[in-house]
Amino acid sequence: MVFQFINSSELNEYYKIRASLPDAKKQRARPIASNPQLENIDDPVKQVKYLLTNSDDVPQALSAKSVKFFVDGLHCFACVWILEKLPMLSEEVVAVRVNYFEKSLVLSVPNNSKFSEGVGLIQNLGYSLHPVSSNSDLEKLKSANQKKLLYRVGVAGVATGNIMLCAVAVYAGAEDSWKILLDYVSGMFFLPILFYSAIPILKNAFFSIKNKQYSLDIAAAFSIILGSSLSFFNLFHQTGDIYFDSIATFVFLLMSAKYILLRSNNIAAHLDTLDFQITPNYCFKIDSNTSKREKVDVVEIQEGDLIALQAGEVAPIDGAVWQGESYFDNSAITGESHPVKIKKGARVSAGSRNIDSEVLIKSTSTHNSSSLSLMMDHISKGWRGKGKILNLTEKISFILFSCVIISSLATVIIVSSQGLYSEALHRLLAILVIACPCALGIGAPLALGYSLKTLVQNGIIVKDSDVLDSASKITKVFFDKTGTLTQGSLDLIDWAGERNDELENIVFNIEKYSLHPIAQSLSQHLGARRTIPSLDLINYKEDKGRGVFAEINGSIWSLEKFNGDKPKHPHASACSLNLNGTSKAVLYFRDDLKLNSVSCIRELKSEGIQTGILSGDRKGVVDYWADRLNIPSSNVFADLSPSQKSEIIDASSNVAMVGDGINDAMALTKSDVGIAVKGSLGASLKSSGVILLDHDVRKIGYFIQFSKNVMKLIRKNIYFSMSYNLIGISLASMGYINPLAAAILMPISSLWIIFNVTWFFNREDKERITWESAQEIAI
Amino acid sequence: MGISPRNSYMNILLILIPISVLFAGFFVACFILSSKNGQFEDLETPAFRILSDGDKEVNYGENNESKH
Repeated sequence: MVFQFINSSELNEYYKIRASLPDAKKQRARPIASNPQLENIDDPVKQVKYLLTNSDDVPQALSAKSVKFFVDGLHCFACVWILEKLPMLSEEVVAVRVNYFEKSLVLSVPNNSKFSEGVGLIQNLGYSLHPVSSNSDLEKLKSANQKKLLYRVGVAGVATGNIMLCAVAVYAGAEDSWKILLDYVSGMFFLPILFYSAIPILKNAFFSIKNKQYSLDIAAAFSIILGSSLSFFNLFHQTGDIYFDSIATFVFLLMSAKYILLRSNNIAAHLDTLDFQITPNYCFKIDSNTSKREKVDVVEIQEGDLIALQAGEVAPIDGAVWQGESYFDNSAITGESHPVKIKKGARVSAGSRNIDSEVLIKSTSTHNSSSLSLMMDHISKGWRGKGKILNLTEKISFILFSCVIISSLATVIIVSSQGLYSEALHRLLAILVIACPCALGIGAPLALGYSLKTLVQNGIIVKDSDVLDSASKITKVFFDKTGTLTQGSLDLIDWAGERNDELENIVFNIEKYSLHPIAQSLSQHLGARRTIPSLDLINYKEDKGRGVFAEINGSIWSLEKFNGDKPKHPHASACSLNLNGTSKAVLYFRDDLKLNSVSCIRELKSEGIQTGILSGDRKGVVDYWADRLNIPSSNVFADLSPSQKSEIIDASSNVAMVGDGINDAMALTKSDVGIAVKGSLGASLKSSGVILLDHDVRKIGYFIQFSKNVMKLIRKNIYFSMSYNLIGISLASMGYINPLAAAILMPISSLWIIFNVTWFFNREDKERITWESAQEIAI
Repeated sequence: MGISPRNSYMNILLILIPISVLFAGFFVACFILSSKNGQFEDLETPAFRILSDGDKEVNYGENNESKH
């Protein structure tokens, strides 16, 4: 279809361009998933929260409206090219502007037209779109902050450069009045640094002191203030040395690191503005006086309101059942696909789906205070939080800071007691300059910022920086079988036993509420052939790991895991259709390995990581696949229930679990690193620390190796800066380093760290390209 | 300031320094103007855009400038 579209639009040049790009990952057409968020996009009321108002993001004239989308499937230059060509193809699209770095695009359409046309076109090309709700005030504030910080970096850069020019002249031997003149000029250039560029550092330090919290900025501000006061004092009195150059460099480097960090953080934060819309937009409120039904926007629901929830609808709020009873599917919230029977008075949480019959619910929360909204808030905070690694560097720099205070006091007291006052001042200065913990301060945030960016570029979303730390220690990886290692399509290959329309009806009806891959394949398979009448199910029950049970017309039917001896197809997943406990037929399903699984397991093994399978399927089937994947049988566990899976995970340490974000939620949460390769983004975010956006298991080995490398780099940088600072402080307090040498060493150490980090990520980037092309060969 | 004849060739600095200050101011102004127009917001896509045939859709920088 994509090919047709492209050809029909005379854009076949697209393929030429793509063919000319060796590392362009060939993108596959994917089925267009219906997305509830996209339905809102043309609703005049709901649309408002997505429309962009910030003029910076809207490229076109006022006659157009724009919405920002997160694009899934943006791989290469050809994607940018074809997306930006859309206005030539459709009258309904004014402009498309791609941001490759953020993996987003801004779609503009004429004011009087609809977004659905453009969205449809883009989805036909195989990209899936998620609208980003534009919290325009917050967005504006964020981008304004980022720009302001960039101005400060720029000003610091220009001023530092000019100060350096003067400093070189002075060091080269400018004398007398020329030296005075040059010193004054550098003093003048230093003013914007002190009173403009360094403001965030000074402010942060001030607030940290006020809140009695230690932060790295305190030490930095201390050095800046002391250094600049001394320099200005010396400038006006023409005594001693002037340190404008070193302080300027220091401020410039520190502010640059802050900017890089903020930029990368905004990329991560961009992910959390993704609107994970699970709940509906409207619901039926029942007026307490007239008991009339009224369609209202969910945000208007107050605590204590009564709402009617029809079968198939999703609860927009937390509440308690007021009238009626029904089965509820909580899979979006808990990951448990087993429907739960809810009676009068029982609690219902926002996001759960009513599958059976209408109930009335008395709300106990508003839409924004529901447990679901709070959960989403919690996740977005995880991205912004500081994390263990940064806390560690702050702790170290606090120890360092105490060392500086103690050693400088000791030096001043000891040296002055010998009557050498000017020597004491010299040594004090040298200590303060060399003890500046900027190498320590920029190392970890810079590395984390870069890793976040690299991972997002690889289609790996990591919830917070702590996950990198845990991932670097992983020694064992457990996989779910169906859908993770295998394709999970589960085609029905054989129906051994009695088969007629009546039995098919029963199978279809008892499987249609289950989210198990077999159930989904069956209902799809049977439902596609003919329309199947709906049967009344009584006492419907899904026992995870066993099967589904229900009473139909007085007899108990079940579709259970096949437990008998001598299956007809020994390597196929099977289940048995039982009537009152006796088997009527056995259904066999074919599955196939994902091509990537083999190389994934091989790669993990070569890295010395153990692999294993946790599956709910029959032992014969699991062993067969394990054998084909070369997974040692001691690590293969079959016939497991979800809770047994999480027990096995719990019993091992430094273990990663790879699975489905919904069906394996329990095991994923219990593991040290949960890696979701399937399931909705919202649900996966809750259960796992890592999400593979394109479901490619090969990325697991890469991710673990990457985390190891990053943690090694961070640790190496921490050791380096700590030893640099400690050795520097001791040498300076003994008088071996004069302030000038300290001023030269200080930026060199920071530059070394920056060089180290950027060099590492450059190499990492190159490796990524070879890795991607290797993957193409594997496919 | 007492400038000795021996150093008189250094007098050029008296002109060069104000010029360098002016230049610095000019570059800061340029930098702020360009970052205001969003030049540093997306550093990767333009690298891809330049590879496609230059046509009218491509140049978003101009549209942005007209906003301010």
